[in-house]
Amino acid sequence: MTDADLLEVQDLHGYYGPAHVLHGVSFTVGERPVSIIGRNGMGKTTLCHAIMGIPPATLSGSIRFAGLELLGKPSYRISRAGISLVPQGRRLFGSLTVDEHLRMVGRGKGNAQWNANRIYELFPRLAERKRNDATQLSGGEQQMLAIGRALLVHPELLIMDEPSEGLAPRIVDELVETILRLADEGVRILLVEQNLGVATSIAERHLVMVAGEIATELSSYQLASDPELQRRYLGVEPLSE
Amino acid sequence: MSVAVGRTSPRAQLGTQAPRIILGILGLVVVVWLAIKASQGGTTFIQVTLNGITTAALYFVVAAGFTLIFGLMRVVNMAHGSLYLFGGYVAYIAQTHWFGGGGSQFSLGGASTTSIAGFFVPLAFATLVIGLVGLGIQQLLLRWNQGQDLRQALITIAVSVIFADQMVAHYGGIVQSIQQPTSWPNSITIGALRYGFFRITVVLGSAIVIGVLLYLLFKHTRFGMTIRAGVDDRAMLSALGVNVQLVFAGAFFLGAMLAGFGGVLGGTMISVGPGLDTQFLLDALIVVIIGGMGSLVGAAIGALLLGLVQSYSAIYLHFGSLDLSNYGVMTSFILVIAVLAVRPLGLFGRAA
Repeated sequence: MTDADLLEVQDLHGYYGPAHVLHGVSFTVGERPVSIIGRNGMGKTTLCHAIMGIPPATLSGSIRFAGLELLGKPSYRISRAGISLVPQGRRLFGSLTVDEHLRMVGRGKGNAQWNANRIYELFPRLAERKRNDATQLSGGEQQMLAIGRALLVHPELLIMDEPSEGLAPRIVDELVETILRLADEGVRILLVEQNLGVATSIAERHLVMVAGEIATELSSYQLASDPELQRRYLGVEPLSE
Repeated sequence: MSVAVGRTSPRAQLGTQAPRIILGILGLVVVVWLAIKASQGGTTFIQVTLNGITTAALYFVVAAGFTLIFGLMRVVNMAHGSLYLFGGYVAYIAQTHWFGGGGSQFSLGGASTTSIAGFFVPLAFATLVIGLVGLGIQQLLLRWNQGQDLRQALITIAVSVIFADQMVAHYGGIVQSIQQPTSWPNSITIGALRYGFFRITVVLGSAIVIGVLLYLLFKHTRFGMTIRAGVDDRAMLSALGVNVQLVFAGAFFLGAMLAGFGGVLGGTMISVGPGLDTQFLLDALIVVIIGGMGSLVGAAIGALLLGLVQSYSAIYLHFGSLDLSNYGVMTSFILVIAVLAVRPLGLFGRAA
């Protein structure tokens, strides 16, 4: 793979009706994972939805993926172009079992990189719970299923919106490991996180979102070493040593 | 339309207990009354029950299409009854033009015969045509109004009004019926009981087969999983690379086909004539409201309840010298009120 930027967001504006929620967001994602951090309500999820083409925000600007303009394209075309979303809150299908989630999404490409069996290898816990409804899974299992489901569309870029939300610390560690493994396998990752520990273990570049704008870009070192910065941009308690 | 369900305070619980108790007593009275009637006239009671069940079968076929469309697209298709009736007319015209059968319900000629193909070709043709008409309505009128529930309901009401007038203009006001194959018996006899052959075999059989096929489709095919996922979270489904518009079109086609198929069954079992469109729309609405919008099992149970209640109340609503048969139509609505009082979303309904 080349170093070329796969995803290029330029001057992206977003509106919910008259409310202006994205104010000219610009950034790129290349080979290495990138994280977007910021407080609640700063437009992080709106940004994820905008890239993925999920309504209802009205958008202007440009979202280019591998040279292809995505803005205005329906969601399923964006997915087929190679972007997949692990949404906030997982958004699993309540009427489907674990196995049905994976069988429904799996597309039978001849040289398919991902199929249901590989997902079960990646997450053996899911194999044990094949016949269960998605609603019966624990938070960690639900997150595994949401990731597995997203991988089955063979994404080049995986957008993960707060994957660690609501998970126990031990599960979060496993999750970080899985994401790093995926990154090693060549899946590019755009991570939205409020958990700085997770963000800094996965990404080196961190875009700080404040009020619908990318306020600044920080390295893991800058972010981790400056409690004042953390407090100002994120409103979080500093990383404990 | 959102209805709060779930945890209730003790006081509210007392409030919900009252209708339960009243309805429990009402239900008990109905059951006892029917038991008395059953013990008095065994054959009549079985016949009335079979009428209810076969009518229910027809309701189920029609309501299954209605509930499928609603469940996935949140479209209350007020033209569903028109699709039902138009299906009957298409089959009737196909039968008279291509096979020389058909005729007024009141003509006793019996000169024309209907072959097996003379029934099944119009049936298949009408089913397909109505599927395409439904698809046309969805693509031309509903697709660009997605998410606007009220607008879509009004559009389909407009379509149903236009269809009703056009059908009267083209097919007249006389009640017709589609002929079953002449080689089939009119009735079958089991012991002391004689019952209509077409009703008990074709109509009931079709409903069971359609129910099983729809169940398998939903449960075991990818299209079915996609439909269920689409009911749960349409935007997420699209984000996984599924062209939801294609799924919508497929579901609408299928739902309309079921209306058309039901129209042919009903046109053979009962008749084809003006007014049946609104009557079956109303029946389909009642069925899915009782059963729960979007639920297939709910449609089956709802159809059965409505069919039986209508059938029993047409016969058994006289108590000694007091004859309440004329009020029979009201019992359908008493049923709706009773079910909604206990389960506001219908028997198998889930909050959207």
